[in-house]
Amino acid sequence: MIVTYSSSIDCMLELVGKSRSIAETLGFKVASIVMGLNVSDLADNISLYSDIVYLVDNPVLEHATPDVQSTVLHSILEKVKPELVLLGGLKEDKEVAARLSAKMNVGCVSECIDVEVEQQSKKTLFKRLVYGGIAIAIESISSKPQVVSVRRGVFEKAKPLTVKGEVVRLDIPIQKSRIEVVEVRSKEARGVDIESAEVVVVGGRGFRRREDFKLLEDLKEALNGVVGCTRPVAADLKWFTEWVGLSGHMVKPKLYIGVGVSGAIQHIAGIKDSKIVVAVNNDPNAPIFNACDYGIVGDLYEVLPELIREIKALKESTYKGS
Amino acid sequence: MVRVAVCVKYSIDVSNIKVDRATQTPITIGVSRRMSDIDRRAVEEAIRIKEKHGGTVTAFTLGIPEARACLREALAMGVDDAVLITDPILESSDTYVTSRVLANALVKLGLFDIILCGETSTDGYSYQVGPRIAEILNIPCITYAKNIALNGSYVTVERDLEDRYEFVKAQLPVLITVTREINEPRHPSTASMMKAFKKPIKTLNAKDVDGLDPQVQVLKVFVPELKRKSIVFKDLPVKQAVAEVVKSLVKEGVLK
Repeated sequence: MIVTYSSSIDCMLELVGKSRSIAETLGFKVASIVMGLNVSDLADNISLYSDIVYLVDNPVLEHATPDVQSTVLHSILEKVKPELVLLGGLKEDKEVAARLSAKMNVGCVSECIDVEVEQQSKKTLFKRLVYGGIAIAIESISSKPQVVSVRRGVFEKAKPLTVKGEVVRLDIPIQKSRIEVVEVRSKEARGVDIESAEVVVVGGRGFRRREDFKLLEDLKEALNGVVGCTRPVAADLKWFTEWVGLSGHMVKPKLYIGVGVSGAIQHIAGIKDSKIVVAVNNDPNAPIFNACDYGIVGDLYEVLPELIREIKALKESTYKGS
Repeated sequence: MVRVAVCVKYSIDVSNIKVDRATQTPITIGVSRRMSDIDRRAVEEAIRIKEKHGGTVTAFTLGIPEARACLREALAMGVDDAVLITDPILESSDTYVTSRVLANALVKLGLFDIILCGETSTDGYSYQVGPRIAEILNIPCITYAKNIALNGSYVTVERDLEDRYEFVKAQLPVLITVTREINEPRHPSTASMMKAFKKPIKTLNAKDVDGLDPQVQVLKVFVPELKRKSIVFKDLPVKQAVAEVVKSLVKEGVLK
């Protein structure tokens, strides 16, 4: 059996999608775990995709912290003894993965980007990015169950089953967390999701002032895209919040334009699935020029206005022509 | 008075990794190492707690003998004493082994009120070691901290999650993993670097720890080929370079 769990439904469906393809090869069933307060509708929904849904509905689980989530998972896994456990890619899921595997005294591979079954040996192999995203490691886990967390957005979501799965309600004694959640503040809702955007324009440290990001906004408008930044711009300068890179958003647009971005390897890892990469930088030795399709060595304050003008002119001529 | 422990990793400096293009593998031998950047912020936070509330900070690392260098750096920043755990048997350790060995050393050095770790290392990116140690020690664990306030016998921590900030409270002893954004670490002065040489570093091996067989095996590491065209316009006037790029983007079908 393969067991899947994430506190995000989107992640869960991605995990189930991948699990179903592994399960077919190995002849396993796919189970999902749903926990919370009044979540039987959610469990019912997940049973459209998963062979079995283990449901734990308990007032203590209303805002379950990772310690409580991992304790609940642990007791379920002790009962159902799966071969493989796939956990989601949310920050909390990664904590759950670490705690759960420590509880069970087993190894754990974090942030997988692929799970494959080797044809002959039927051994399960896990791929993950290492060394800041420059390389991919293929790893195996000798302990059972094999516990892994999976990066968000890399697997296709599951399609509904022809026959709905079974919901199994479990009654598990649950202790309260030793961590008290005092307050929760939502982050500002993002507009268009950068990870699914078709055009992404990113500003780096080449920008001299925060106000100059206006140029990037103009480029974004012209291309109908989404703006992002590099990690130093977000973390050190605090000009902008959504950063692209291994530890931030992994993007996969048709067109990526990096402006004043030097191309640290963690950033390159975050844009590797872009179809076309364009770079503008005044430093001819910037590493991004080795990782781009088209580059312009030049002052972004000269290049950007010209680029915006050209793109606008192109769009206008297209509209007139059509 | 509060006893703080901080765990740091002597990480590979990933920006200096070169690639052997013939075999498509990363060359990690001889690459410089330094304290993982996020761990440096854990050290800074530990020192700030000590400066505000009084007490001591002990830094721990598990690694090759040269990892002593990152302990020296932590000592120069203001840590009081340090523990180096080094043993040839730990060479291929995974997160399972690393957390067991660190937890064992933390118990041996005894009764810390707060244990700080970076949320993840800048070369391994596993996000596991902190929560695993907390689980082994059976103490509360608070991950992804961007703010820590100590009030007597409990801490209040602001956690930075994908869609929200969460303010949580827990009784000491507690393990906290910090984000890169929590603070800006100090640069030690020459005088404090000199002073650091007088501070004690204790060396431990892993002889008395059981369960040192890694559970995760790394079978292969490779660098995927980057299929980019790398057409870079260097010496063209701006107007011309932009026109060339726009023309190419139209041809690629990504610009209409």
